[in-house]
Amino acid sequence: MADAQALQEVLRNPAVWRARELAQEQEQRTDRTLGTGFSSLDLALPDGGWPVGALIELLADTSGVGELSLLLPTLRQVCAQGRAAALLAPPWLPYARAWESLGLPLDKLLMVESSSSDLLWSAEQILRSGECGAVVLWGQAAGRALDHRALQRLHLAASTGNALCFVYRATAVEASPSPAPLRVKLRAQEGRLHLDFLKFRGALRNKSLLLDTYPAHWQPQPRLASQLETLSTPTYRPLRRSRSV
Amino acid sequence: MLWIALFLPELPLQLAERSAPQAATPLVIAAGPSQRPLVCCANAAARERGVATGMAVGAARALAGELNVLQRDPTAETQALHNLACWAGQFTPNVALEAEGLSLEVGATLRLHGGLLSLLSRLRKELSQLGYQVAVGVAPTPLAAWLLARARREGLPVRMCQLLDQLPERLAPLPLHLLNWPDEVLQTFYTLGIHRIGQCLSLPRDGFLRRFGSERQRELDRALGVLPDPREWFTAPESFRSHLEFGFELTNTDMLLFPLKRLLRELEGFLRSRGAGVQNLQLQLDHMSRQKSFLSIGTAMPERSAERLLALARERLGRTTLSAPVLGLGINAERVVSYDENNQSFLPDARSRAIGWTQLIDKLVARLGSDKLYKLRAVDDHRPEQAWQRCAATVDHIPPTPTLNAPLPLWLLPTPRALSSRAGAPLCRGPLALLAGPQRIEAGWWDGQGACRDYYVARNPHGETLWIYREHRREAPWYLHGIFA
Repeated sequence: MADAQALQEVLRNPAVWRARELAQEQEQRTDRTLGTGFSSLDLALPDGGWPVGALIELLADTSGVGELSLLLPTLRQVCAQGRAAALLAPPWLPYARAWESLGLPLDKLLMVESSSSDLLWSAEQILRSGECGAVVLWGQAAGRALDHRALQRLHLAASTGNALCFVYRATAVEASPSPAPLRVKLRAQEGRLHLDFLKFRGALRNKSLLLDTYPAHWQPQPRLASQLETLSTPTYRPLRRSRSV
Repeated sequence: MLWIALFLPELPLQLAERSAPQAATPLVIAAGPSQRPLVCCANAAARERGVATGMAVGAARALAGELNVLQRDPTAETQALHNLACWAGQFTPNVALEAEGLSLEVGATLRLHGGLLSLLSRLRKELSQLGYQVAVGVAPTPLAAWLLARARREGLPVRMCQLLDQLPERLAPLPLHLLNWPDEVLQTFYTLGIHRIGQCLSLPRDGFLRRFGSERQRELDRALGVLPDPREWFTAPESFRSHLEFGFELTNTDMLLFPLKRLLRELEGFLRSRGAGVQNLQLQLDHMSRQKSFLSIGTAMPERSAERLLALARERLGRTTLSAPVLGLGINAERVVSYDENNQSFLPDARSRAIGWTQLIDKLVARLGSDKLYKLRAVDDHRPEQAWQRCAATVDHIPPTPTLNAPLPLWLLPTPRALSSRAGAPLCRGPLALLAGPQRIEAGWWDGQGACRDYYVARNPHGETLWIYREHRREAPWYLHGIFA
């Protein structure tokens, strides 16, 4: 009896590692958050990053406002950890060279084309397996199958597999309840990405945030428009000469 | 030498009941001349109503009222025993086929399976998972093992016997009829007042020889291990096929899973005995009037686990609609490949991770089809439409291409979309403002799909950042080719 107590005493010491826990921890690192790669966003989010093992809803109506660039640093980080990332029902074709030049290893990117219930099933399987560190799902392809129950299942699967689950949805669902602990509304504002935090867990510094997802020099350049005429001449001329016109 | 006798009593009945959970309706198996078929086995429900083996089927019908009668199929029984022998190969290489079951010689492999008790409990458990009821006998000689198995089947108190010295003592109380000797021989013994094997063994040897012939004496000697009793070992075939008849129609793919699981467990045993796995498995569904349909299940890596194959089959069946009711189910593994057993690892490593990945891909492919899952490969070409290729999701290394310095969009439109323009300026949900460019691409003149384009980064009033181009010729239209998402 005394021996057992002594053993308990030893085991309570934080310097004693139990092999079982070590293996579990290696298997599913229970880091609760993953940095977003944008320092201002990290500061704004309650735990300093995206919550891992949770559903994250991104509400956006238009494509091309930087809504995917927002996730690129996260996906890069996931791939660097050796886990894969899955894009489910991407609305367009991912341009392989662009993803590659932005530092995402193509052999870690899995694309799944599917729709409605099959799509949600695939998302759940991928999340549950724990093989993918991040799953990005475009909810438009799931249609009506993506209801509250389906979102709940995704949330549960994400926590089982300890993975990030991003779901893009239209802003029309803003008012409907969601099990996602983090909901962000995205829109463009003068060439920058505007984030509205609709729902979050914990304390938030700001309810909204502006992020630069595009190079700073991408500003409207009337000079380019004026050059159009000269550039489209049938014979090729060096740019230097056309500028002098 | 240590022998395990697996006695499968009433095999025809077991085969009929194996494909489906036990039915409460009376069922008999008929055999004998077609003019006057006789009942060769009857299930519990039929026996309750007075049906006994050996009576005419007509009489049985009269007794039971509603009665299912199935014709006995000796080839199916042989096939079932063969498959069971394949399955038993995982426990020992020395398996012999008998008329009513199998004899396994396990003396050499006992230690591998953790001793006799754990081997027996595993055998019993897995046989019941296969859907068989067995009586098990253990003895140092095959004949004695069979005697013990038959005695156990009759509910007699028997113990297993591991030592040759104990054998006469253990066999002595067994009734003589277990020896399957002809009736007139047994009758002679009974008139002499000899009912047990022990009494038989204590008879004077020369008198026994004279009266009952050397055949009977040799049989007793073989049972006691005095004479050798060699058996012909079963040789497992190169491929495996197994089949189940239902005896009724199944209309739902979910109902196929139960019998399929039993077939897959048999397959797993066969694959274990060969140290092999399968990459391709064919399911055969039998319909009315000898029509068949086939489904195939493929895996990226060799697989043998019945659980995982069943999970794949469940997804595959889930996206299949049955063209007709199913009367029978078969599996067919034509080609077995070598299988590397994976150690349970304490710390996860790259190999266990790769296995998890292929299992995930297999599962997804089984439900969605292989064309819905892909990875992308970048191709070193300046034309965006030529700069990518699809490849299989199981590819684990994709060579990188030289980095391009120009801005590239994350999304590419499958085909460029023509944009309207106003006074030479492009429009896409409003006038487009040009942000960067031009990036001139002039390539493909060598393969007839030439492109001479100037790409610009443009933004519309909604804030969408787009990748547009026009060919550099006068009055050329504008196209939308990508989206900076």
